[in-house]
Amino acid sequence: MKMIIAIIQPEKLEDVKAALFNAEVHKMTVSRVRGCGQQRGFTEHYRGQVRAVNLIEKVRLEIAVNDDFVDLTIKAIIKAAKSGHIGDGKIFVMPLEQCIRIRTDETGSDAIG
Amino acid sequence: MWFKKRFGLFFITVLSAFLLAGTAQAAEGAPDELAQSSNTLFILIGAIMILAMHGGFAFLEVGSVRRKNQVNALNKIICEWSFSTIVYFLIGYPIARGISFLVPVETLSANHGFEYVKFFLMLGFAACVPAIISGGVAERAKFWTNSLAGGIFVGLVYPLVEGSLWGRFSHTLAGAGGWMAVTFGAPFHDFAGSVVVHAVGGWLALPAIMLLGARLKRYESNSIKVSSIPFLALGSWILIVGWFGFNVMSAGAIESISGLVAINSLMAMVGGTIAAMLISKNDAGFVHNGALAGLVAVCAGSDLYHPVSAAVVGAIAGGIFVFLFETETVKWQVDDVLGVWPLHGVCGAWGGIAAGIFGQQALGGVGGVSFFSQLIVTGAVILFCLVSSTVVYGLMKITVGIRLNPHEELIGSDLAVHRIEAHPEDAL
Repeated sequence: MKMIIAIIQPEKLEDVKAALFNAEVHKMTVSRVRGCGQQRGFTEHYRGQVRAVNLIEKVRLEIAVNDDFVDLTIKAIIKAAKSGHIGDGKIFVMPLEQCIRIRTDETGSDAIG
Repeated sequence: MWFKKRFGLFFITVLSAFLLAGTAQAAEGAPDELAQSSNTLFILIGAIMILAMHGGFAFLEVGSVRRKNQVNALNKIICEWSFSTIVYFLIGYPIARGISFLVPVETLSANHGFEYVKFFLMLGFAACVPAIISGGVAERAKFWTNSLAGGIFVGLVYPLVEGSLWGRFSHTLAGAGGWMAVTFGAPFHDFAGSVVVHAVGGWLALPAIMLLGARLKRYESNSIKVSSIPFLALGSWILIVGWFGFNVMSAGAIESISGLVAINSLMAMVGGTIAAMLISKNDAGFVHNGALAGLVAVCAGSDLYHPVSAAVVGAIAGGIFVFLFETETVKWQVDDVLGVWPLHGVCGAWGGIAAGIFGQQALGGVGGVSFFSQLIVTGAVILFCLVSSTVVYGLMKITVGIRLNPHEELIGSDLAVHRIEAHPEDAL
């Protein structure tokens, strides 16, 4: 079992969701986040004051998958989120120790699927 | 003692005689003065209510665009109002009305400055044109080219329509005794601007929207949403309230004020709202725009209809808006963000034609209108606007470009043009 965390451009969310559904990955948690990477930020102007804003809006997806779905999921995200420009985001993959479905007490792979 | 008393009595008598004479003198001058000053106040109240409507345009757009374009919507409306004022003051109003303001101030400040507030009122109508277009081209038009186009429309295109239908050329063309009146028995009738203002704005907007093209990914992923229903509804309410100044003060003078105009505007508004509510199954966007559709349509004949007819005219407009907005933006894939073409363009044209139908005595109206005058002039205005807008936006498109570049559009016009987000605190 793996936990895949992807940080993507907000406007790519619809495409990424569509690609994941196509790959039979239907379960995810999505949140609006702010962060900074190579894209840096922008400068904000208000009444003559200039301020640097480093953290820009991104979307974070958390997807728990069984091992045979890892590559599929990553490929789907890359295919849909890539524009080739700075700021496309990153994907992190990490081992997942346990997963429990609250409703049924199922654990492990069964609970993810 | 008695002498003193007598003298006092005499004094009071003389004093009151003087006072009475004074009152009599004031009374002789009063009707004129009172009429003139009331007229100035009447028109000024109308002008201020229309000024408030521009705040409505701003918030309707703020709510209907994505968060990254809210600042742009706000800045655009207030800046275009300002550009419109200058252009209409110097060029547009003189074209439409034959009155120049570049004369000694005593010339026009007579009659309590009536000419000045009349300009303010008419400016409110003229400035609706860029405000209407703004809603259609939102989220992707370049600020400066769009402002320039707005300036050309307010300075030249709108004044030619206004002049022909309401102003100095109307005697020969569409007004009383003009060409239409002689040919079809009645002049073209547009009491408060269904055609002159709204159809002009809506039909000028259509070529602009088509030349710009759809917002990025509008039709690829269907992921574009509106940012705020509360702001959208607030904008709609401000417009609705201001509209009663727009319509009632179109009477032009307080002695011509008509409660019929007010009640007809009200009936058309509720007709449009209820029709849109029923057809759209209580959709928030359609309900709030349905009210506006009814008001757009009622302007032309608001002084002619029976209130029942006004409700019908408004209800038909509400239906037109729901049906045509979906046809335009979904079926034809014309990305009209606020739906200004169906709302102002088509409902405005419907209002012009409806005045020739429900304004007739046979249908309970006041009469004195000709269906053919209404139909032909409305058609001519539509054609003129389509051509004008295609020329102006077309020329700019092939020379300087009218659209933000994809990167600017992606980060949003708030950051690209105004260098700030609508909610700066959200930026950590």
